[in-house]
Amino acid sequence: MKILLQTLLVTLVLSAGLVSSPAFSAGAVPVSANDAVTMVQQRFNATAIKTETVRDGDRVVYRIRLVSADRSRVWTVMVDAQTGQVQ
Amino acid sequence: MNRMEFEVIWTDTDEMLQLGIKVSSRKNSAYHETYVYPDELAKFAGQLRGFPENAKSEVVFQCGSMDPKFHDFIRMRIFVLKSNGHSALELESDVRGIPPVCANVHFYVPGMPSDFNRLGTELGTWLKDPRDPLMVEWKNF
Repeated sequence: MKILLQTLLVTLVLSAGLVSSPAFSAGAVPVSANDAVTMVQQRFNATAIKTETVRDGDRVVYRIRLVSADRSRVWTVMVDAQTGQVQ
Repeated sequence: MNRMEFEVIWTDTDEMLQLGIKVSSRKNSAYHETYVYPDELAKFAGQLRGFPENAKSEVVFQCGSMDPKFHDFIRMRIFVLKSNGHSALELESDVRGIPPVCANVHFYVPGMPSDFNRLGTELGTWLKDPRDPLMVEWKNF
């Protein structure tokens, strides 16, 4: 009985941890990488070259490399996956 | 004659290369520009040097994205065709943009493992000082 209770307690703690820390999973954040790419392409009139999901402290951030429409300039923008804010 | 050419068009401050890649067989040819870090190419070169590990071996270099929103997509797969060693490079290239910039090609370039081993060796050496273009040629089997 004691073992059963311990198992239940561990399961509950692990479940709570998963629910309360969605920021560590890129799949669970409000802004997807696809959304972020679409947003910055429209905002900067540019095309994405590469994108990667990185952690900035406790936040998930998309690092998106862009090339300008006339292909003359390459730069990087960071998009907060929680807020969609461009850094 | 089959041929591959690599040319650095521009280098960014973080060492990312704007790279021109030409691939030609006796019947087909393609030109592709992509953005790649030298370590990605060096990994490809290293895998080519050790190709093939077995009859089902393949070496893949992929850059860009199949998602049409992205700038480009290129995939080069070197694999064994037959048990006698006959192998091939499969090229898939999607150059996006408006005409006449855009192009979409898919073809195969035949070669022997020793040809692809040499390609890996020469590509690896070239990456140490890529100021001049690299051209590697090999015959059909």
